[in-house]
Amino acid sequence: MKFLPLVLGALLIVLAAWLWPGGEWRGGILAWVNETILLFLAILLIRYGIRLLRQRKEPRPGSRLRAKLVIALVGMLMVPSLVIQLTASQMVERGMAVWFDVRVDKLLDRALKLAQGFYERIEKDLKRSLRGYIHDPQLAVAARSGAPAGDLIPYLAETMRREGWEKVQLFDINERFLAGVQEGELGAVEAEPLSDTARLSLQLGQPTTEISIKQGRQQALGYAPVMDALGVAGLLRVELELPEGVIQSARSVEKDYQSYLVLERNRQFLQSMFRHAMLLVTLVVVLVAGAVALVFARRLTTPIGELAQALKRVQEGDLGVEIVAHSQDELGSLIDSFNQMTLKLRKNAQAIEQAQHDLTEALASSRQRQYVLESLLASLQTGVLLIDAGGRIRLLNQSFRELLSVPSGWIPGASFIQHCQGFLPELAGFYDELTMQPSGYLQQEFDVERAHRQPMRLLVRGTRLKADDATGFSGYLIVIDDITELTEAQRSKAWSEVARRLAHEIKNPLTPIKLAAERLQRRFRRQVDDPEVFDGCTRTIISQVERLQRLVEDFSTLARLPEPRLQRVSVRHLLEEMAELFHPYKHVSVILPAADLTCQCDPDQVRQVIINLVDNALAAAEDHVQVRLYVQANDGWIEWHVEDDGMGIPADIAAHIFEPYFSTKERGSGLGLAIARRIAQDHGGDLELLSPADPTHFCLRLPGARPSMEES
Amino acid sequence: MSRSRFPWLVAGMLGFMLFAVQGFAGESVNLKVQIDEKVVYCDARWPGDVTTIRKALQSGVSLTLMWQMDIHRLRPYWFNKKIASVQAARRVRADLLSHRWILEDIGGGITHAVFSVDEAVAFLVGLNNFPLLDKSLLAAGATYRLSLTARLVEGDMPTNWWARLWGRSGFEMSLDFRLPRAS
Repeated sequence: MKFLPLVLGALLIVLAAWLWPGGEWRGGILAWVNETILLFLAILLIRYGIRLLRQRKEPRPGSRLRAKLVIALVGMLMVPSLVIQLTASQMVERGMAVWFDVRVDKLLDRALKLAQGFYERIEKDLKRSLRGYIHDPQLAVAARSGAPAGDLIPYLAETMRREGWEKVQLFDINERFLAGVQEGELGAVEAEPLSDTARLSLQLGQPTTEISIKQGRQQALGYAPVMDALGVAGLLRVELELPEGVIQSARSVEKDYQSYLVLERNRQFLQSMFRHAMLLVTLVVVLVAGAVALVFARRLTTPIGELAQALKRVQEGDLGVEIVAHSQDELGSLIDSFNQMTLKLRKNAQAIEQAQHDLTEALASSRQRQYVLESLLASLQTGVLLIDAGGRIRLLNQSFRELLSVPSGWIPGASFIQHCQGFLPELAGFYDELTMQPSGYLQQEFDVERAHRQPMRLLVRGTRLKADDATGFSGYLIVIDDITELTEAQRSKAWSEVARRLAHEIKNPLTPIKLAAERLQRRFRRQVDDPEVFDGCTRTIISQVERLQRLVEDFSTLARLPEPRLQRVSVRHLLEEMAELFHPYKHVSVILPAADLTCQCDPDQVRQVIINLVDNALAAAEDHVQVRLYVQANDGWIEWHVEDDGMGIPADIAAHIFEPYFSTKERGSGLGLAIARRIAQDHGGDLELLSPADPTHFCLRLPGARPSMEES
Repeated sequence: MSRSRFPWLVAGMLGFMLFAVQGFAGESVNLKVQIDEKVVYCDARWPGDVTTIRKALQSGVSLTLMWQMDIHRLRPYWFNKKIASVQAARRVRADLLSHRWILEDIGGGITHAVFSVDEAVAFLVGLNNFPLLDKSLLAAGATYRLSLTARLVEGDMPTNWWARLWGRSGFEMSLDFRLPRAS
């Protein structure tokens, strides 16, 4: 389609070259007008075609439609115009073939020959008659003498009558009129100047004739030289009146014949001119049709182009576009509809923008609230679980995951009941009971077993959430708190109170009992019958009282454990003390740290804890079992590790070894590890059983010395 | 097409058309200028095919050859100034009844007949010592241009001015000449 204008332009150039005026007949101005129009159209088409080929970007909206309309309209007019031209050319060629038919040519030629024959006959007869008077002696004498005789006039009259002439005149050699007669009026004979034909007769010595039209009459004029022995003496001029209309008919035939000749000679030119005239009409029709089509198409496509341009701008987001309607027709109605559409779009866009702005603000506020809520939930030590009415998890925070160590399947959208079965039956039971509660609130405490650790005490509270108009959400909110330490603290406090009361109530009477027993032993030993039994009984009393005193002392220590006096303590130095202390025990190995670590602690209390741990290891292990004491620095903490390869601690016992008054020894108070953990917690650290067996591994974690403190 | 270029294109095409209609200036011509003491003459000869003219006359077609001669003074930086304009027309009419050719000098009103077609052709196609203008109208040393247009018409003479547009084109000739300076 892009090459169509170029092809049409090339065709027009070929047509212009074919019709280029040349030769003798150049076609006149019509040919050049046609050439000009053809070349003009060819240049327009070629220029348009080149512009189409070089066009890279999308053409202006409506230009293609305009081109199609122009081509369609011009083509619609060109086809009948070309048909008419071809038909007319054929008709003209056939008509001219008829006009210039050979029969017409012959007819005119014969008519001309007939006229020529008529004239030739008259002239021949006239010449023949005149030849008889060339040597007429009477005429010669009169001509030679220059003075006409008296009988010359009758002689001329007789001759005129005899030959049938209308007029006879005699001239001398000097063309001087001598005498003459004519039919009818004798007085009308006048001397007329001789013509070239007459002089030619004098020169040639032969009769000559010519045809003359005078006063509407046709005459044949004859000239004959009059000769004597000396030569030409004069000239005889005669006139013969021709039949009226014959000469006119002959001239008319001559004129028609000449006109026919001109037309025949111009036949090619006429055909060419007619062809050019028809071509000019066609080209003018094409030009006018093209101009009208262009104007019409422009008027039609301009609003469409503006509409397309406006639609493109709307597509690009410019809703402020508005088109001016120049007409009230369908296009005008379409433009009005478009303007109304853009107006509505603008209003809708403004409304959407306003709504978007409001939504953005609401979303920002909602996100802020969500962020605050998520931060709050994340920072909470309390586990939070939100379950919808369908029993599916909607939300759970990190503390909930860490407290219960839930598997990865616990995600929002998962079924709470399904995940609870077999994993947290207590929590599943709590949920079932909560759903049954008429009040919608339930609180319970239960223990959750943990591997190698003391069971975790949980406080679980549940609330039913009812749907309202604002949220439309209904479900259950479960909040879980780890109250293990709280319970432990309460228990320690209770034990401390018990210990204080025991110490207060038991410690005071023990000393008098012991003193009384010793006094009995000193004063009444010699008075008893069996001193051995007496000694045995008193020693038993004294030893049991002393045991009770130690027990009470331990309880007192547990109850009133002093505040640690923190100071910077060299770990290496403390370990060296331990190594010196347990030097007799060959299977106790104290591993000194490579670097000089510093611990912020009360050295006496820490020393007490370590000795307690090592003593327990030695007590529980056999002689050949290795006991290892070493220290590690870990993330700002100083960890004291005591390991032994003994039999280990049973699992059921390991969970209670830090409880006060829990001991597996016969003579133990069960307060050693409880005091040790209390010391560790008072330092801000902890004492944990990392492994109950293989090896039995305790870890005392204490805070390390701060750099500023170390510098100070 | 931009609106600014369209008029230039139309003007160019009209110029081409006018150039084409004007004929073929500069063709091989026989044009001479003769200057005597008082009068400027010119000799001109029809540059076209004489044989065609002879055949036309022999067949009985009447021919008229119209000469248009214009003399301009050449001015380098301005339009040329027209000094004189002379027209001449010669017509040869075949008298088929008497087998003669009537020679007519339309401008001079002289008519005579010849029986030889060669005489008729020579009368028609040539201008010999045709007086153009008085020498006193020309300035010595100035350059003048004699422009001659010859147009051949067959048959009757056209009476309408536009009739020649439909006919065949003629020939144009030009010759520059200069009056010698007085010694």
